[in-house]
Amino acid sequence: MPVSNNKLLKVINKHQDELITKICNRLQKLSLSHYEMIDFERHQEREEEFLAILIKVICEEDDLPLKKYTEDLAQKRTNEGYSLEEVQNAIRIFEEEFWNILVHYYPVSNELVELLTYCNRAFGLARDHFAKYYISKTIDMQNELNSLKERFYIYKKDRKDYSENQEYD
Amino acid sequence: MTMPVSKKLNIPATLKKRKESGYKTIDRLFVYGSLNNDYYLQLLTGVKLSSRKGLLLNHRRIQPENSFTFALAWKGYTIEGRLLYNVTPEIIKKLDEYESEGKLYKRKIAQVQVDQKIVEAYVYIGKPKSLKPYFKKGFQERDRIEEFVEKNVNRYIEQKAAFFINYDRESLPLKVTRELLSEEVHNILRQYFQDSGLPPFIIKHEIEKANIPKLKWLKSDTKALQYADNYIKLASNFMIFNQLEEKFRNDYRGEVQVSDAYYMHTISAMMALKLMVDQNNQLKSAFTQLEIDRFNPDLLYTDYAAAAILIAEELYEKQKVNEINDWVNHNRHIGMLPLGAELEFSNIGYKAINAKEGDDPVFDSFYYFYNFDLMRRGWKLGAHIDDHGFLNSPNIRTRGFLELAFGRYKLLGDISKPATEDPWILSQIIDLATRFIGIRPHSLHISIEVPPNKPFKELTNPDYILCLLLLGGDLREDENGHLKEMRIFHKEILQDDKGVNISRLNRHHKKPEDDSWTPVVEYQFPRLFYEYDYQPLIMALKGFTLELNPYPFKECINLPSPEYYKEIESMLVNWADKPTHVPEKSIDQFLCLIEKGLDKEVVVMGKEHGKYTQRILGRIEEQLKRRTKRIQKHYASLEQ
Repeated sequence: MPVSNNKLLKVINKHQDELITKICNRLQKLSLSHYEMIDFERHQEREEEFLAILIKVICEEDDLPLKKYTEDLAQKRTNEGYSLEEVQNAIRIFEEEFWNILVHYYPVSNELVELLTYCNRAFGLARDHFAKYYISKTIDMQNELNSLKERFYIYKKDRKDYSENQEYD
Repeated sequence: MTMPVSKKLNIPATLKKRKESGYKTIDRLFVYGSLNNDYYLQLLTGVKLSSRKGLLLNHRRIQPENSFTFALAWKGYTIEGRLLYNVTPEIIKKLDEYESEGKLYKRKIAQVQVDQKIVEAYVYIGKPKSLKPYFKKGFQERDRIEEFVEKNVNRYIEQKAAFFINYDRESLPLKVTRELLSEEVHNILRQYFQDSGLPPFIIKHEIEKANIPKLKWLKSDTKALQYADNYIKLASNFMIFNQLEEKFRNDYRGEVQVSDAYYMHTISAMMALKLMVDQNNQLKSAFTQLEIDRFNPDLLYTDYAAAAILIAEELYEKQKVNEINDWVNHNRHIGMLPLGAELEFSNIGYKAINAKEGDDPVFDSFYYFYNFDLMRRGWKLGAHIDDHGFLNSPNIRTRGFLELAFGRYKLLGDISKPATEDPWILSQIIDLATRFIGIRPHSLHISIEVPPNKPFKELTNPDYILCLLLLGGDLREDENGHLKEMRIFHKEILQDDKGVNISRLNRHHKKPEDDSWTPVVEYQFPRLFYEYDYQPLIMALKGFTLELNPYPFKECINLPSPEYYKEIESMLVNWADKPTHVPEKSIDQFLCLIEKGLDKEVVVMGKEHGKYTQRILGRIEEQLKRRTKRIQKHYASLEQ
């Protein structure tokens, strides 16, 4: 995707503020989600980081930074209690606003069509990688706790229920 | 029965035999460490003993850093202390237990000089190898006494445990009962130290009357049953937290210790929260594996406690807890002003007040909070339900916010201590508690104790409040794309008569029987966010207090110009509806004022604190300028 690299970067750099602001405002409106209760500037930092990775994927066709980023993100977000749906929703919002900026400001041409295809791929990768790592983190954890499960099972099996004791009641 | 008498010395044979074997009856004890304190002596023995100053001969005092003292036999050295008289065998028995005679200390007979006379007396000599682990943990005099008192309390807890839980492995009955009665145990210890001891029958009675929570009532309460899964999960979370907090407090005594003026659980609570938040994936998995993430009618409340104890043991891994200890030591700071915080949570936000049944699909606005015994589970974090009305007894169901009030001992009567004087610790515990609780954050109240004898002054520039709102308010677009300050715009801190609850004056009592109170200004405007560093806001409020100390907006009887404050409130309401940028001049004046205030601390606290202050001042300035710019850009984009 060599030709449109510079043009893409030009458009994104010129309208980055607008793009990030729109994304952050939308995320803050996601009712009953973690995103709703994150400060605007914190959103800005997070989305700017994601944008930088995406540009790399689109312009340099290098998926590695995205894989690393989504793996770290999956670790963080699972730990923070985000649902898979929440994060996928946030990626979708980002994609929509990114798409809108391109369609609005990028010169209409066959290049734009090609560019949008690459963008589609990049966002698809982001969603797929994230989902894969998110689910694998959950499975990994479950396998580590067999001895704990056993101890509790032994306890439940052997303990007697004295809840019928008058005083206890 | 008459004892056979020796013909030579006229000494009863039994006594002669005792003397020959070296047994002596001594009613004197030389004390030099924790026992050389009448208050501690009374706590341990229940009696006051007569004493005189004395010198222990041929022994040396060893004083490890930040720990308690002990004596070793050492020719040529002496130890200053006191000689206690009329020490009965009963008292010796209690003190032997306290000193773990034979294990940590050995009771020996030694020579003591009192005035010009040499007498023999018992003395406890330390066994360094056995004492070493205590020094490593930073145990001090008071910690040893606390441990001793707790051991005695545990006897009654064990008796109670045996009554309702029959399982004899892993000390689980004692641990489970201690967990479920941890608030009662804490209150007994507090009273023990406050009253210089408590009769055993009172301790026994307090433990016996404390009830063990049950879940049987759920069978007949179908409405509560709908929410049971979520309440059980919250209870389990609290119990795991309590266990971890206790572990940190025991293993890192030196690090978590704070002065009596502050809430003793703050730092250990922060460390426990950090561990739970960092290991949340593992925690969630544990819940699922043990099936305690939901209500199971086959499980008793005590079973959930047992599960929590096992999970806490699993999570408390040496390497991770050491890393957390290092993290605290690396980042903590000092300060001059006692600080506190209250956090409000609700999945339905500001609608929590006046919520109707079922509005909140997760907890029904915490209507069943007390039924699930959550006030006792969450006592270390000051958990309770706030419906913004008059404080009710915990037996009354109400709907509102879940509030965590760090340092609050008793809900009624507002008995509390400040959480910390360290803005970093306060910011961390706010952030960690917000992530831990798993409920939508709503608001934050930051409390600052007014410096002694510092009078309140009138607010010289109302723009200062706008600066504070920029640092801690909630500036965001509404559904129509209009920028608002939501704390005021949504009427979250607005009163019916258009008063704005920016700040209010509170009166805090440190003990229930205290007549005197400390003035504390509670700033009520901040929004509670996830992942937010509150250090800039906290430091700004500190600087504000130290330099200006303006009259609080509410509960201030002697407000000199109420009309002026009404005008400010009116300005704030208008501003919240359509935020405008704060003039650069006002921002500069505000920064200058904050810096002047914080400099007062730097003068006392030193250069390192000065560097920290400068760093935070830089962040305050950056935040104010960014947010002002955001407001300007917002209106610029509307014009396009």
